[in-house]
Amino acid sequence: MDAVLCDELIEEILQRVPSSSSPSVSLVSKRWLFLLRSATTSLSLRIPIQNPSNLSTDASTNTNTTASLLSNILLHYPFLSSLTIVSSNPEENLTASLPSSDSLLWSIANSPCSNLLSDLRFLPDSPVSPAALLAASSSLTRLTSLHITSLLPLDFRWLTRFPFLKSFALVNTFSKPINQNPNLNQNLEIEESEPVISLPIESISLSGIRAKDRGLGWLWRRCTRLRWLQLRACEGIGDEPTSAAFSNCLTGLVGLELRTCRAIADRVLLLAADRSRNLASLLLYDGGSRDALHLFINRRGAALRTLDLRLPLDLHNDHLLAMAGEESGLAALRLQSCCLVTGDGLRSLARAPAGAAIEELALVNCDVVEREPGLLTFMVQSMRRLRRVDLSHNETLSDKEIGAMLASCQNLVEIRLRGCRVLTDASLDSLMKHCSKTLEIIDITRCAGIGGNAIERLLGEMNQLREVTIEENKVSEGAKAIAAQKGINIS
Amino acid sequence: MARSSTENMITLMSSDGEEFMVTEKVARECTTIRNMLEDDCVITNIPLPNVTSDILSMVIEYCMEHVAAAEKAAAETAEKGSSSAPAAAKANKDLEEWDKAFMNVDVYTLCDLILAANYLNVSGLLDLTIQTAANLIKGKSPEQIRKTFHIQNDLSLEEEEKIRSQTPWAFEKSE
Repeated sequence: MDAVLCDELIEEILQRVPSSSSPSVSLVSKRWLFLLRSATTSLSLRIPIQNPSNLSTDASTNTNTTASLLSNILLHYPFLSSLTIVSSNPEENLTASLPSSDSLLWSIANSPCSNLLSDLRFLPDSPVSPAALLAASSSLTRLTSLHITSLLPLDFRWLTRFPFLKSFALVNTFSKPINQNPNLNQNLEIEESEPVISLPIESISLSGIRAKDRGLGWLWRRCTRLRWLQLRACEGIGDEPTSAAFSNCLTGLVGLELRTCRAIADRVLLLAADRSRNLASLLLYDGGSRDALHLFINRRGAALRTLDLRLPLDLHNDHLLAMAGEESGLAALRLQSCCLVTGDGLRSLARAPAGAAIEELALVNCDVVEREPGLLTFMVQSMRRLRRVDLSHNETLSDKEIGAMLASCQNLVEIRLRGCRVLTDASLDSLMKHCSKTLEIIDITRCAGIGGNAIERLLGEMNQLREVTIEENKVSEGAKAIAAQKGINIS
Repeated sequence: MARSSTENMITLMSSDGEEFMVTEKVARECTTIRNMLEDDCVITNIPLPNVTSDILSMVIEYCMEHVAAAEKAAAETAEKGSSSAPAAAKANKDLEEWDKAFMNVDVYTLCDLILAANYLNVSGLLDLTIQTAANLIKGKSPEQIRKTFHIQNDLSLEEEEKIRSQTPWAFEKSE
């Protein structure tokens, strides 16, 4: 083969080999090693834990070694467009000195692939400095997506040097706060003498912004093209509470996600209700008061396509009634652990035009489906366009309820019943009876009552099945053979 | 299939001088030949000095099978006014099965087929053969890969050690 095929064809073959086989391919021959590396466009590297014997007393030597090792590796990969760097253990390495991340970034900026990189996930174990990002911008000229662990100080002015950046994320995976010099964050609310030029960024995800953090006002003022915003575990928005900068970036928003941001959820919801006229998707996990949510639905419900709520403590029937009152085309409704919602609210929504348009319904860990027999059947009968159902973690949901529901719901392509412990083989029989021609995806993990024989029968009976999520020990050899023959993916 | 008798026939000649008569439709599955026909529409005899007769006969077999499958699907659509999804899915699956059986060849033949598919520019066959070769590599040790593809190891022990020392850095993206 070596002699027959030219480099281009071997590269084409190697590009189709999964990266798990790369270590083997790299040891085949010199030519294959070279071709593998030049065929690699996407690479993920984990910064190894330093060998204790190499750990010199001088931290800077240590840092330099890691950075030069990284340089040496990147030297072999001239055609990378996507690079991920993660630290081996963020918990233990918090004492790492600040320059280490900066020098690693410097290694990337000076690698042969730097001007081809479009996607960089730079997640080392210490914060990176704005100065280092500014310096790197001159070689990372094609970057469209950038994830960084943490930025210190919170200064974003370097972003103006990345003219093609569409997506930016501050991942902030540290569980403990970083020891920082309190002076570092002062005076960051930069005097706005410079003209406000809008950034090309369309998608931002920020994690772990603390109540006292400042410096994001500059960013918000320039994100006029933002379409998607995600805030995770944020206590603040990095701006003066009275500042209008933040609401400025909400104008063009299509998607908004607030995950565990109790302290700011209400404020963001109210601002979005006021400013985000195009908002089609809201995800709210933990947080949001009854009134704020109500106002939001009243103002924005009409345009919403997706509503995903987990444990909003105050979600009541009246929110669902407000949704039902809208002329909306809600396509997906996901409720998780919403304990104050009752059958009345869900029935009203299902009866309304807004509910009838729903294609995806999740009632995860919502005890209302167990408390009120017949509710599910009523809902699926009203929601004629329903294709996807998630009823996971309803621990006392019975076969009878599932059977009655499935009898009225002929077009299901996806069903998730994870952790529904009471369900037995009878539920799978109902699936085979009613959904054998349409169902493509099923999740029956942690359903203790469902046995291996029934699963094997299910695999044989279903015509369109593509993906099954189930514990491996429940999949018999026979079932595996059927899955392999029908191209069904079991995970 | 009655139409085929009125269709233009093309003669393809392999490197070892064997001649293959095929319909123009089958020949056009090879982009390289299609381009020749479009440049010069009276051409009926095409020499292919890079392809041996046994490999050429396999390429033709592949093209005929895929042309027939496409014609059958088109005829069914015309007959019923619209294609029925389950029947189309079954036809697709049958063709996939056929491809799979067709790929049951030794590594030398596979490499020759890759070269021929690349030269004649038969995109479906090139995709199929490249993927088959990639599947032969997947999950094997370096030694097993060398054995499968008859490759000599020219890496010194030091070089192997150096490559190994860098592999712990690599990991699978779990997303």
